[in-house]
Amino acid sequence: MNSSDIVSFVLVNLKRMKLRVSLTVLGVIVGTTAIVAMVALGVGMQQSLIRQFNSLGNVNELMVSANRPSANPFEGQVKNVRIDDKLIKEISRINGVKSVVPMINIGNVLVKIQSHKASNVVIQGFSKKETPKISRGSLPKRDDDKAIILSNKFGESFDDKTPLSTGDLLGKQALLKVSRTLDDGSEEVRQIRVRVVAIAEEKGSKADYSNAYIPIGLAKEIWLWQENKPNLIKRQGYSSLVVTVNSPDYADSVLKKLEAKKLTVFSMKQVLDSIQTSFKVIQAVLGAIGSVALLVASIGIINTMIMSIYERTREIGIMKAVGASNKDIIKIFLGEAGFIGLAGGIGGTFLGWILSKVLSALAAFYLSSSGGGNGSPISFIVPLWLAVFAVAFATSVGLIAGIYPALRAARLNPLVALRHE
Amino acid sequence: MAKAITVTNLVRKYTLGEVLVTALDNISLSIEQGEFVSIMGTSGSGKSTLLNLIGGLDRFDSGKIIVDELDIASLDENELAKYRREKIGFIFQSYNLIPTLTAQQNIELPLIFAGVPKDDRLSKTEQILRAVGLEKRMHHRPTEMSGGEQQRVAIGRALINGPSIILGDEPTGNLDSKTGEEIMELLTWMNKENGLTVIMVTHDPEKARYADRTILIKDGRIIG
Repeated sequence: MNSSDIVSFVLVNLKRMKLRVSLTVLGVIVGTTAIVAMVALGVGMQQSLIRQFNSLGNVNELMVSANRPSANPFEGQVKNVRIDDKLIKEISRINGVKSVVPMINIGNVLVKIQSHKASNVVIQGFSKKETPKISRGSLPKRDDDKAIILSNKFGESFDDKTPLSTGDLLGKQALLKVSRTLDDGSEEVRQIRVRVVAIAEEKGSKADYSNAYIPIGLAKEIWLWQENKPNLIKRQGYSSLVVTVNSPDYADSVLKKLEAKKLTVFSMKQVLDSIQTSFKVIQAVLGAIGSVALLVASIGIINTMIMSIYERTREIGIMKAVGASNKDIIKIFLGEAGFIGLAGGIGGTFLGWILSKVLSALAAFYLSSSGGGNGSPISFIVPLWLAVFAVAFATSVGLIAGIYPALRAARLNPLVALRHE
Repeated sequence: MAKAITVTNLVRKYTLGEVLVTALDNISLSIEQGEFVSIMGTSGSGKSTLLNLIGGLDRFDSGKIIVDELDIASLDENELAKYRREKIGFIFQSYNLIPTLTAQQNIELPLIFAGVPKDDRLSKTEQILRAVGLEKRMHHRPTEMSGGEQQRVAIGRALINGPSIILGDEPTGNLDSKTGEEIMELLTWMNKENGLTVIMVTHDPEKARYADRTILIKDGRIIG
């Protein structure tokens, strides 16, 4: 029997019992819809969490620190290695590493723009290879430019409590006041003039208010002046580095090589990976709950098929008498059950997709009206793999449900079947 | 002449309720290639059982059936299906057509199970429809045809795979005498013109006269 003949047989037979087949397909649609909507909720939750996560840090970045927590609880942190310029060069030669930048944070800086003062500002150094993401302005050309990038809501953190639009500060002169304590206990103050060249993108965290970024060369110079120790980098080294890799795929291999150098590494990707793993479990559980409805539908398929075989017993006898093999009979009935599964799977996936859109829109509406901010945390997302999986799964359920009825039909004695009224 | 069918010491028993019935009791016979044989007997004599066993529709308890050097008892389910498909053409009293299929589709059915490609199937069925005189009924369903026409469709279906043996189980039993004669003419034509071996079960002596030879069965035994 050719496969095209099986298909036309199946379609003709199913057409003969339209109402019954439609109701059975409806059962499969409900089951598939439940699975698609449930897993879509899981995927949506995962993606919104990953989105939030990505705003906190970059999966391409590895935070490298010279210190590690000591095994002795009274000792605190112990220093394993010294991060000096030689080590930085070595690290930058590891396969997949895009850039290595020492982390230099200067705390307790007073920033004065026109008459407005902001104290306790944290200034981070950045390399022109790995700049902060900016929303306005332009990036400095060189690593020792006298420039500053303000965080998105910097204008709201001035001491005089008059919120300013950060955008208005673009292009203005800013005065950075840093101080150091000399050996004799007296305090020395240094002032650096910089220009506001850009405004950073919003991150959705506290860093939006009181952070600022300056080129790494300038940051290093200020830091060395503030620490006031000759040969600081050679003797003590940097406390930490930001290693950026070319793509997240390199994160794990680079991390291993860094750990081999006895460095302590924190990788956003590793954290993200473990979150992804737990979401796979959550999705599987949600999918399993949805599958209960499909299981019930599969009983409907078995019922429909057995009824149909009972009604078509004589026909099966005729087919056997004219030479249909048991395999042919199995193929016809498996085909019918599989088709019910396929049709229900396609319908259910489509309905599940529509339901996901509606539920997402409803969730977004209610959460935004209760002040939920941007990007609803509850969304239903149907990725392509879910659609493909749902259709394949429903078809398999149909086929499996068809096994018993098909075998029953194939095993009929042709003579007994022919005598059936 | 070569023996087409040899039946030796054939026994078939079955239980009817709690009673063990011996439908065929040690039957032996042989039928030659191209012979037209009628099997006569009262109802319950076992004549249909014999026909079904020769056609491979049912299994028997002991004895032997050899058809064209093929030992029927040794065939498994799959080989038996192939045997029915390639060697045998059945014609039943109640036609046994599939009600949802047209005349042409009913005739086409054995070709589908034989895996014949669609284009070949069309030309073959058209040829057969002409041979049984139904080219105008091609797209009619069984309920739209007379009994005689339905039986012609069944004959067409029996012929389509080019079998060597035609088995008719009271093929004229549901037809009026005139139509019955037409069907008998058709069977005779198949036997004489195409050289097919025809075995026909009947209880009508009028119809048995078309055959070369008549075998009488009573209570599962051959009596003449």
